[in-house]
Amino acid sequence: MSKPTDLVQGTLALLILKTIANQPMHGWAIGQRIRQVSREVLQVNQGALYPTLHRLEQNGWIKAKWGESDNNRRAKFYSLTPAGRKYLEKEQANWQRLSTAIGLVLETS
Amino acid sequence: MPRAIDKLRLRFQSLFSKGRVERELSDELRFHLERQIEENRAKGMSAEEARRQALIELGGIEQVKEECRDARAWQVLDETWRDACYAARMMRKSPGFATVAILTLALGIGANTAIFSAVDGILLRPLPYRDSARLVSIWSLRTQLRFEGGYEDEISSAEYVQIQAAKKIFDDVTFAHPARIAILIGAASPRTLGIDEVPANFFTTNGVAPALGRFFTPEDERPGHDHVAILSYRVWQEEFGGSRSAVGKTVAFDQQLYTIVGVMPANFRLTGEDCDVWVPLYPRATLATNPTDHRFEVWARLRRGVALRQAQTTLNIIAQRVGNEFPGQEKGRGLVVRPYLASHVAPVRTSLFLLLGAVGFVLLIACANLSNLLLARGLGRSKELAVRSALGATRWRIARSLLIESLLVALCGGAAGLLCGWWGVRVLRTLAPPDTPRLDDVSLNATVFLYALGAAAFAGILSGLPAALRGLPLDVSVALKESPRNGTETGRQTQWKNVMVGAQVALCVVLLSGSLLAVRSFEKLLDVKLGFRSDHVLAMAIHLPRFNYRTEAQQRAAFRQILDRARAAPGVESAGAEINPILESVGLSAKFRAASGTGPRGYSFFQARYITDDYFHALGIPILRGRSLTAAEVDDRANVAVVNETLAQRLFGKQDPVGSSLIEGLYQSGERKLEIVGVAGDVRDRDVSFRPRATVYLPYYLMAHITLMHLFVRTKTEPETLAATVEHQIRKVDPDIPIADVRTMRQTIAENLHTSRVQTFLFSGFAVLALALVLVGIYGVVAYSANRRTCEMGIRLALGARPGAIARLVIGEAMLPVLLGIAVGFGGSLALTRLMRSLLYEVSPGDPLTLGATLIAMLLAGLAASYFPARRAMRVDPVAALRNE
Repeated sequence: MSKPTDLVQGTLALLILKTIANQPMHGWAIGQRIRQVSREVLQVNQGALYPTLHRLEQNGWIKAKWGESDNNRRAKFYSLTPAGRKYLEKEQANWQRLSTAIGLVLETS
Repeated sequence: MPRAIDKLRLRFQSLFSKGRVERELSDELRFHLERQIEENRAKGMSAEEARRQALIELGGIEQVKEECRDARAWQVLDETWRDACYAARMMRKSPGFATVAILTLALGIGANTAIFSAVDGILLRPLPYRDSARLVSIWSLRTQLRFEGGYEDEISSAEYVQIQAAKKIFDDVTFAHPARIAILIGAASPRTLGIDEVPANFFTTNGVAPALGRFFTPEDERPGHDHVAILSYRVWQEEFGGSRSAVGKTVAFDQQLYTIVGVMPANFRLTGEDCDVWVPLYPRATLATNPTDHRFEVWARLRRGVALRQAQTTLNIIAQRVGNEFPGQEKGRGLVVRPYLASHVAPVRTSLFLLLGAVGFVLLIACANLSNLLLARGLGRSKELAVRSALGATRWRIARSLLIESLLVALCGGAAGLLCGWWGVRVLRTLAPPDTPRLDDVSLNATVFLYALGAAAFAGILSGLPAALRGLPLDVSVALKESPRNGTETGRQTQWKNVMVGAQVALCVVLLSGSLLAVRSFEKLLDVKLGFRSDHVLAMAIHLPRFNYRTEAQQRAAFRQILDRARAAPGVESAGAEINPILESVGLSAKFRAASGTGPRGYSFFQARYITDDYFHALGIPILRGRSLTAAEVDDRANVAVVNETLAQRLFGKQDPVGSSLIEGLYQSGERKLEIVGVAGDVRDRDVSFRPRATVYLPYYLMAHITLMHLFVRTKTEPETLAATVEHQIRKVDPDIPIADVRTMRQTIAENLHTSRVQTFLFSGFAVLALALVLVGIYGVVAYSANRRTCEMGIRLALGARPGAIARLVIGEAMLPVLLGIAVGFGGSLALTRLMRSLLYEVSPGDPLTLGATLIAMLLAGLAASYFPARRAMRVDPVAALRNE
């Protein structure tokens, strides 16, 4: 199986968690949403989206539920579990620290 | 925690409901595609183009699915499952190995399962009473009468009243007073019932619920309202056919009417003796404070948070207080408190734990066998393992697959073992002495099942580890070139096998010596001089209905008639009677001193047995000096006595006691002077294994108001055949007299030895099993290594070695670990057989004869196991052996 690098994988997971933090969403909508919010900068690789979702579910960060989509079709909605929420907070803080640090390095040198 | 459970659920879901997971995955991706196509169409693409673009963006449905599956899969479990399938195929391919391995473990685990189910049912499982851990029983201890053998008594009413007042320690104190034997007339033949008087709190303290009806309430204790009764389950079944309408019926015990209010549950057996009927007794109204009526079986419920030691401290103070209050009484009485379950099962505790140890050893021996079997098998598979290693399997992965193989074998062995255990439990329940406590609770249940599973897993891991850790042939190319028969066995592996053989020999030595000790002890018990002739003796218990025989004169006349009738029956040689039958109950205890002589001055407590004329003749007890009691002396309550040898020795030394006098101290009215008319031989009357005690035989009717008689009849022919005749004769006196416990003296002795017999049987059974396993184990190792060295033997023979030398080589190498094992086993035996000291009679754990026999047996076993491989090695044809290479 081809593994994306850890950074990419970790980042995608973080983006997914953040995206569904407020409301449950299905996979397609998650991809769309990330694109919209990032103003079309981040293009989610759809091939990587689903394996990541399944891995997150397997880890217990998110849980899936079948429900009605906006156009009345059955879709699998993902939402954060309490453990996932904690994990998101931790990872978000990590990310912020990291990006600040990188920013500092880039600015001074 | 819920997260962990969720994760497990998901993993199991992807493992076991693959279909659903797959369906959901397809649905999810289909939904995605449809949305993407819609989106693309909205951007103005054609239907064809929209679909194509959507698929491209997703990157191939099958790839995504595969990656999702990988994300979900539980890899370790998946691999384990594949390993297990592989192991199962390997087992099918070598049925011989599988059969031997599974059978070996099945025997070991079966024995463990059976014995553990007894340990679980009797010792471990809580009693079916509410909060039974707080239930304690209290006994009165005679600290100064050690030689009498009766260390523990029931509680006296004086003690009870004090114990009851200790409210800080006990929530509730209750008792059962085995009040009397009542006669129930109305059934096919009159029968006797044991009646216990209990206070209303008896049932609440014990925390048991009635099977039917209700228990007593304080209302029932009021005089006039107290003629209510609760039946035991057995009596309810036998006399009322288990009918629910029994409650509310009126029944006559000894012609007194009682209303049945309830029935006890079937498994209720709190008192030592079987009780048939409970009737209320109001404690304070009827309890005299008497320091000598040790007849109350007392239970209490510890107050929550009170430790057993605290309770014991309080009881020590109470015992002292009672002693001070009644200074005239015997000194050195103590009180002892025990957890109820522990004191209930105390008689079988030691032997059960020892048996559990014994079967544990059997299992370890079986594991050693299996371990060597797996090692040899792994060696034969060097090539296969090398191939797997060459194909990229890691060491850990191969070790794991080997371990899974041994676990699979062990689980199959465990399943077969459960079957053996199921059968074993049935055998145990039939074999066990009927008075074993909680025998009904011994069964295969979930706990036992788990234990068997645990034993199987333990055996699988233990015996699989050496083969798994053996490591791979490091040089794959070498391993691949070797012929399977000559796969390199390193020195370490040979050593390991020898260690296993040594270990199992050592374990077997311990077991064997233990069981031989049990056999020797049992043999000695069988050889014990009982002091009476047990052949041709018929015994029975006769109860006179008190309501028909009110006065002592009536009772005496009836007993005289019964004796005469019994003696007149054809085939009867003589008949005599006493109150408490020998080997079943001890005599009464009374205090005596010699009127003159050199012996001790003050009173001592001795056993008193009240007998009729011909008692000694009927039981075949020799009269050593003087004579026995005459019929006239018995009937006229003459102040005469016969003493036994031990008493004569103790009070009179070398002097002839006949003609001397004994002084009996009476509890209420001074003393009584008895003339000694004879000396009788010593009798083992308490138990076959108990030494005779000093005993005084007194005329039957010196005991006032006795309505019970235990009759001993000496017969000319086999006693069984005369039982009906004698009963018939006695019934001629009065058809309403119940006759109970008809048995021969031989039966009584067999029952007395039952426990020892079963113990001996079980210990030797397990020792034989262990010996057989060890035999197979040694044979397997020797045969395997001799077989692998066929070529070497061929060369030796070709170079001129004599066949005898070859045999010596094989046997010598085989015997080395055996000898070491014996040496270690002897050490273990000396250390461990001490634990069984309480089960042994006149044999000590270091018994040289036992150790000698063990040594010889083990040497023979080693020689026998290596003889056949040695013979085969001797007869190797050098040419054929070398050509085979």
